[in-house]
Amino acid sequence: MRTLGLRKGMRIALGIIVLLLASWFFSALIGTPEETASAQTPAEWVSSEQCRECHSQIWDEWAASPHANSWLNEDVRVQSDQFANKDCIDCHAPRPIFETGLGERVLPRSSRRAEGVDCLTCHLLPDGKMAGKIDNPRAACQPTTRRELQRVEMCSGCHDQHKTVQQWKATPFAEHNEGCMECHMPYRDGTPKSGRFHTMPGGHYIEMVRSAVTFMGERDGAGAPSVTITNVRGGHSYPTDERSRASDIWWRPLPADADTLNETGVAAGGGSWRHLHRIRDPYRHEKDIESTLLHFGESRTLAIDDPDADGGVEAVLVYKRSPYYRDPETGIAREIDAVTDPFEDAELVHRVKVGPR
Amino acid sequence: MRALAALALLPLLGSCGPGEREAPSADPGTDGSAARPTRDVLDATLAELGVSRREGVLSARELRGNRGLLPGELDGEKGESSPESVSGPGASADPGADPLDPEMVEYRDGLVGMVVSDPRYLEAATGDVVAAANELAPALAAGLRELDRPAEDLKVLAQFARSAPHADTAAALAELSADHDDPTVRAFASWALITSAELAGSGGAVPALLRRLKYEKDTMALLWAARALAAHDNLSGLPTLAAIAGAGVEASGAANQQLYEVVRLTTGREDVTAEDADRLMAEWAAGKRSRSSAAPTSLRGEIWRLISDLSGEHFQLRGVDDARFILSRLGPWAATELGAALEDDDEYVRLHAAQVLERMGPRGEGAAPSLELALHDSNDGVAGAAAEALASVAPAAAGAPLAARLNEAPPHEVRVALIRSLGRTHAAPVELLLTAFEAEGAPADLRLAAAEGLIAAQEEQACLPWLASAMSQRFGDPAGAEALLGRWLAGIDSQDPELGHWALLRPSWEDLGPQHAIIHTADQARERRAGRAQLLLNHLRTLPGR
Repeated sequence: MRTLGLRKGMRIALGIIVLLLASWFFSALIGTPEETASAQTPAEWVSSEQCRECHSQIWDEWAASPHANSWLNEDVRVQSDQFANKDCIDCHAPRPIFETGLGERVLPRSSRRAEGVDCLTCHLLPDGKMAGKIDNPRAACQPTTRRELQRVEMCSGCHDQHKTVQQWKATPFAEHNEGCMECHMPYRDGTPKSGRFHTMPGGHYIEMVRSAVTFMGERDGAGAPSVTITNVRGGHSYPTDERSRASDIWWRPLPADADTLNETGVAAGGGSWRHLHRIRDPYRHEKDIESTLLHFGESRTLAIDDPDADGGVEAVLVYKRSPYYRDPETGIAREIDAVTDPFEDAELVHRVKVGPR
Repeated sequence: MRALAALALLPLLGSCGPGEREAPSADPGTDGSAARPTRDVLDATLAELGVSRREGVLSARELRGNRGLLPGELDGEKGESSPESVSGPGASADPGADPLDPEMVEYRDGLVGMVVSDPRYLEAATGDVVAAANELAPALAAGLRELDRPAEDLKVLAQFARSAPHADTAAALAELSADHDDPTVRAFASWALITSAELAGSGGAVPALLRRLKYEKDTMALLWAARALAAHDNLSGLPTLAAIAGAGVEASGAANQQLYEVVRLTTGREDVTAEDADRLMAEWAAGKRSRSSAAPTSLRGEIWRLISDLSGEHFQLRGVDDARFILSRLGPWAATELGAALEDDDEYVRLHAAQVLERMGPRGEGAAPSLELALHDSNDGVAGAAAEALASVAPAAAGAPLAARLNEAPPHEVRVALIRSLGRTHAAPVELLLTAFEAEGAPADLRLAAAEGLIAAQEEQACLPWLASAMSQRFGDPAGAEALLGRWLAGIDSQDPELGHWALLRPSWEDLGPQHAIIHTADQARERRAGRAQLLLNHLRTLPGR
């Protein structure tokens, strides 16, 4: 009987050891070191700062992103009169998307507005858990698998207000199910295991803008110069986002000896710039302006019909994040005709040279 | 909820006029079915008015339906009104409407042609129009809706409509004031709407005119929209008139003349001054100058339609923005309806209704009891918005209910909104604000909300050092701290014996800011805030006891 009792005790102890080992094994298998950190589930989610302890890399990426800056962005603050125009809060400090619903219009929140479009906006679920790649009830934030995180409807509540998602739906990218994430949240090393970048580059990253369009110049058989812009990789119209974005084409005669480039990337010592074309969607009250958005796959050729263009021509495509076209309430309204410096509040996207006739 | 819907319907259905019906009894809802006061009242109202409900430009349902539409294709394909188009009573095409009398159409066009060919016939033609006012009104309204008519024709039609005001032509003029490409035609249409204020139950044009205040860019058209609003007892456009009068533009003289005309008519005095105009605008903003009776049926229908525009069923924010803009300028006319909307099943309607009431300020005081109830809304966003609205519509009375809700340990979001709102009441409970501000580990949003109240309560010494340092932090709300301190500095009286020394910092503060027509980059903004923080901290160190 005693021997039997000892064996039984040993079996129990062995069982406990096996259970512990199995538990350790599975936790190592399922949970990353971040997720099994010492953090406890907070009593209340009050700030995305709470995510930082375990997800520092993602947090740092987000903190450097336009989403994190959506409340602090100077352009927005000027246009919204420091958010005295509360209409802007809906998208610049939205409530959690899983609360209002995927693909639904967003609603504004009253707290942590300075965090803009933050971790909680996209990941907080109505039950207090977090939408993530995997289920892991042991992690402090209790992530729950929600594949909807990959869908365009995550973004559409704000970004389709100006029909960006509708524009995407008219492209082949939609047919191939290549959504917003493919370009704006790519995998860190190209594979799912590394997770997606949370910097979410877009119109604030000039390299990304450059990759969306090509810009070429030539003379036809009669020697008339023209430039052609083509939306080759933008997964939506170029630019997208009504009023907040514009792209302009300027040109000027290029002296034969203007070979060096200045710090902006255009010929040093060139002449005055002349405006050729503006690409943008009119704001809702601008009934006298046609939309000139360049849809995906569209190519637009613009003739430079001017005797001054018989010599060499330099043309530039610039990208503006705030056209401020006819917005007297900002106190900085100017008609495009009054602008003489293409780079005053715009960045160079592409430059072309067209040789003399 | 059903009881609420029925209550909301009572004044509407019990009103006098064609098609008068007996109001249903207010049955306290017992069947447990989900009720939608907004939808119920809207549908009933619109049915009574004989117009159809407006659908959103692009609903979430359509978005989910994967429709590949591009901008520009939407309007044509859906046959939907543009965001700016007018949707007031009578605005929608009514397929059941009687066909126009060809004789009246011919008569109308004959009169128009006569006046266009020789303006001297205007007086005689107008006399004929007045004589046949009711018979001619449908034809006039139809003519005003023919936007491809020559502008001169439309102006004459507007003059006819002005001389013989009628509900049909008022609706058509409201559309014309928004939809025509020629600003002089839009101006004529608004001008002609002035006389429609004489109609019994007028007011249906008010939302359309308010929308012009938001979108109209032509100063003359804007001037007449503001003037027509004043004729309808809505003084929301007076600041616009004053701004045009002072702008030194071509329309300034006319704006000045109309501004004084409104002040004279409203005050009943002949010798009015600029101070009278300022006083009148202040009284309007405070809710002391507006029509106190309930909205007429025609306007109430549009109010409910605008409230339905707040719904989550509409995807695009532009319609919501318009509805918020218009409803907040309707004055007490909409407070009752917005109070009822705070109990809608749709959280979008509830939250935006609270936002509108906040923007109305004291003009929305009638909804204060509903807002108190909404402090306990199951949606934290709605509860927060209700707190801010309550402090705005009833600043003197809001302190107690806000403080009581705060003592119930609400969720963080509601707590922040309650603290921010308490700071905006007339007698902010400083102890509560200090407790929130000084709580260990208090998040930056809560501290900033409390700081706003402490500054308003002239307890700035408690939070100035923190605010100054918060400005130079990367996280938290540096821009919010800067904006708050900027407002505080700007408002200091340089003669104030205790605070006047801070006013001396204003030039340096401004010098660090962006120059005209310049917007700082993110790096420049950080540098600016750091400089301003240093300016304040340096000054703080010079103060006695530091």
